[in-house]
Amino acid sequence: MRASLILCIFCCSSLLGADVPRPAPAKTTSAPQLDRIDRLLSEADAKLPDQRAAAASDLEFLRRAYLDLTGTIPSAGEARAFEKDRDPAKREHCVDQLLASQAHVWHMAEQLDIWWMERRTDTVVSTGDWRRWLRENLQGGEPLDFIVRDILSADGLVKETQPAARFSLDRGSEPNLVARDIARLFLGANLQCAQCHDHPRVEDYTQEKYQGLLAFLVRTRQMTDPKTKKMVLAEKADGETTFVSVFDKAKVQKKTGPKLPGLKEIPDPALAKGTEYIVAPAKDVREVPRYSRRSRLSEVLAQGGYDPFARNMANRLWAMVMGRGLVFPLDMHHPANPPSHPELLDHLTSELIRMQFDHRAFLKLLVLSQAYQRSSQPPSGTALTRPDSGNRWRMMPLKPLGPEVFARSALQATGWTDGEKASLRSGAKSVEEGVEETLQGRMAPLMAPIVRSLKGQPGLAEEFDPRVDQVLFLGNNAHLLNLMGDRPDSLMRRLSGLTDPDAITEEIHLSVLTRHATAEELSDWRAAVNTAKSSSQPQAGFKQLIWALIASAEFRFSS
Amino acid sequence: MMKTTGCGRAIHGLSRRSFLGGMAAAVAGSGSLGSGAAFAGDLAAKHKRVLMVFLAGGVSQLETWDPKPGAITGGPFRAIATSAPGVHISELLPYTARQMHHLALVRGLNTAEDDHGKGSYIMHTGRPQEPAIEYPHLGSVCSKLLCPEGSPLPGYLHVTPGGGGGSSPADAAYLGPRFAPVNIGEGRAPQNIDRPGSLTAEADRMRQELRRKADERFLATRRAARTEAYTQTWDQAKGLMDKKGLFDITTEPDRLAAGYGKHDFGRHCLLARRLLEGDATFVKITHTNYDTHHENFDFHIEQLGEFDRSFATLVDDLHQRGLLSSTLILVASEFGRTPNVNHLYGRDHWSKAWSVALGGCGIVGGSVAGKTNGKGTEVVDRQVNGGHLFHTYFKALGLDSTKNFFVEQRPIPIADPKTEPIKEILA
Repeated sequence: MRASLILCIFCCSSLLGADVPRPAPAKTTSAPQLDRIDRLLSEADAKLPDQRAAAASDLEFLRRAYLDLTGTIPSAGEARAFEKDRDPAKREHCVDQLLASQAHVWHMAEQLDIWWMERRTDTVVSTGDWRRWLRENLQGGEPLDFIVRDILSADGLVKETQPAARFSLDRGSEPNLVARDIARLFLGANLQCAQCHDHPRVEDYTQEKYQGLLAFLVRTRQMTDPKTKKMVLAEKADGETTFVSVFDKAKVQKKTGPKLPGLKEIPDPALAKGTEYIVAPAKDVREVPRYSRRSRLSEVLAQGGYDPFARNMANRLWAMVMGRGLVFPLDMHHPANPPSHPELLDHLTSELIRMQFDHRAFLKLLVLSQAYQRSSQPPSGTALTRPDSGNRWRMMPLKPLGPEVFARSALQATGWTDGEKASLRSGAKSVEEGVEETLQGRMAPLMAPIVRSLKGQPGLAEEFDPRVDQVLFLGNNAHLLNLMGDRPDSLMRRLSGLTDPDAITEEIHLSVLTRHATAEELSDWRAAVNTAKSSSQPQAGFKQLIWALIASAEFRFSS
Repeated sequence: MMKTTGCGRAIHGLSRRSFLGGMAAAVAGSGSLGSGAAFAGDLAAKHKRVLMVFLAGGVSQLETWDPKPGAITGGPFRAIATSAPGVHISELLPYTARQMHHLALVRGLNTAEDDHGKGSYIMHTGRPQEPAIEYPHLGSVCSKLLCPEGSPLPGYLHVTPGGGGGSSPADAAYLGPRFAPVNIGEGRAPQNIDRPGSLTAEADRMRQELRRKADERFLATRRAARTEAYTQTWDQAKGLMDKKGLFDITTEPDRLAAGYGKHDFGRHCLLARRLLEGDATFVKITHTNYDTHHENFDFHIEQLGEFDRSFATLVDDLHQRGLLSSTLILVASEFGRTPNVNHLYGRDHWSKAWSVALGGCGIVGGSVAGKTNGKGTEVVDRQVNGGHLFHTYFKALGLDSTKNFFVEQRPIPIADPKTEPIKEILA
């Protein structure tokens, strides 16, 4: 405990400046920690009957953890090995392995991209470059608050952080748009309405709050740098924010300096006349102020000391693995919309701060909790309803797979990924990073048609939106079936080597759904499997069997 | 600076001249539309349908249904007589004018909402947005109340203009994903509507059976709104595949297709007729670019030039095929446009006194409800809002508009109980 107190002090001092070196974050897997989440969940539900789903089986846990931490399902081989493993701490070791893997880095970068850029089309910085920058930072152990700080302060000129400027540049650096999205995505507050007036329905979202945030950004603009010809950010040393409410008949004009919700206004430092600029504004010159309000925003906002930032981050990471935020919708934190479990969110927020925004440590905490390791089925004979919203996590909610996760899992389920990995291994590539990059590069074009079919409109938050055109693609487009080819290590090769129809059914269920076929399923499938085997082209028949499970609801959702 | 009428601007004169010239040619060339095979008998017995034509952006009532020629707000266009005695509409709608005996006008509409999204919500749900509840769109309600059980086509079809702007599953609100819209992008048959060549019907049947059984087992203990939404799409896909012939408008006789117009909206109107004829329950088509904050008059000439002939052809075609008496037609926007003309020769958003057009099933052709004052700045007789419209739609379709839906035992009226049907236009 004393060690963590010292750590706390160290933490606080490091908040004052970004260049103070950080000590390694504390380990977080002591048993009392793991029970705390579940305790806080159940305390809040004390009045409800004490019914909880059974614990998730090993394979249920494995599939869920793989999907949440690496964005794909496990292979049949990985499933068998995990089931056989007798180590009592095997779940923790598995989580450690997944979090340390390259697949996690790629998946996490993808999730952060979708969260922060919401599928905006590339205009200045390509998604490829931006995701690579995110991966480099995640791989290098940069904590999430540092990453956000870089994103908010990047000017597009400095090479190391140029891709991070995508957040602003690909929004045209339009101050109102950037302010709105910073509030939504980093502070969990949808202040959109508050640009022109106090929010009509949310008392907490005042125009003053919005304008205070805007004041940090209003001096920044986008321009083409005359020397490098790149699109960069420039910032003036003057420019104030005044505002009028459109609802105010008296049209009283108000002013505000830079101000984050809940904090005091930050006055510009007094600078001697003539020293306001490092590079003074002139024609075709990128002006550089001595004091940058935008840099100041990044320092003050993106750190644990600023509660709305940490709280929003904790809530979103919880939603990522638990299927729904403790505050819902994710961008509606305000007093009239409290978290479903206020003490739990308080606890998670302080944990995230204590871990110094080490996302791996935080995710591990969640994934090893009892709440996460609960089945998605209500206990039989109980009246537990299956809500989509208002879940109390007495059982794990169903989580629809995102478009990329579905596509990658389909590649794994069809056996394409196994075949590809086999060919890469035989290519004697020893560096793991390089192998993952090659694999991802080969996956991308095969994933693309599936992702295109499943994804939503750009600029909107990710939403599960089943449409008939999506299943027409899955059903009638030859794309999925073409992935089920016969080659070393692929599912089709394994099936072709099996003679017992039940073994074939079992191999397909394990490869696609990460579970054993039930007796009922074995019996139902026997006729279909035998028909395929005895036909002139057994593989064509097997393909349809594999397809039937990929098209099923069980595959579409993480359960 | 206010735009005056009869301004004598050359560009308007030119437009009107060429426009009238075009009309003369059209009159000469028009004849009866279609082969006129009247299926009056058997189709009349079928279920009720709805055609919603949405003019996105806010069509100007002064340039369409409620012209004020000579008024300071009236703009340069005249009013013309129609096939409905005593009813005059804008000269920009000559073809529609000859169908007015099938159509009714509501001229006293005041929806008090000038925002695109909120105005659209009122016109699609019959109520203003409320914080505590989402109301379902008309298409979802009609799909639920009118679509026969086991109907192969999805109940609510939305033919979207190119590149997005489709409706979302959220439109069905508390009715559930079964009644969500199915978007038909760009009026073409959905992609991948054909089975791949390598897959026989028998193999498809077998694999779908396995999939269905798998879903039955999995969902026995895990059914939820989202899983329903997903499994529902497979049923919709099958329905669409069975009816894919409906999407092939190339099989239509060339002269009829020409009458509809060889542009997107014309093709969508033709597709709408085929879908309705094929027993679709609710079809929505959209025409865009009516948000004329500048150059209001020129843009309306262009847009209504497309709309007018296609819409009139569609109304007549439905009539010729005996479908009109069982199909409710409505033509709506988010709102109308300001009587005041701005300095860009535009009209801005205006919801205080505007119009919609209805027709077909249960509607008295040639009738008018509501009146605005001389300048079109105020409703002076029979003021109604979105709620009245919804009562009217349901009544016209033979439904009890005071009914409730029950959502978790809570009664929710299908139309705003503070309002009532517009009897003046109902049969």
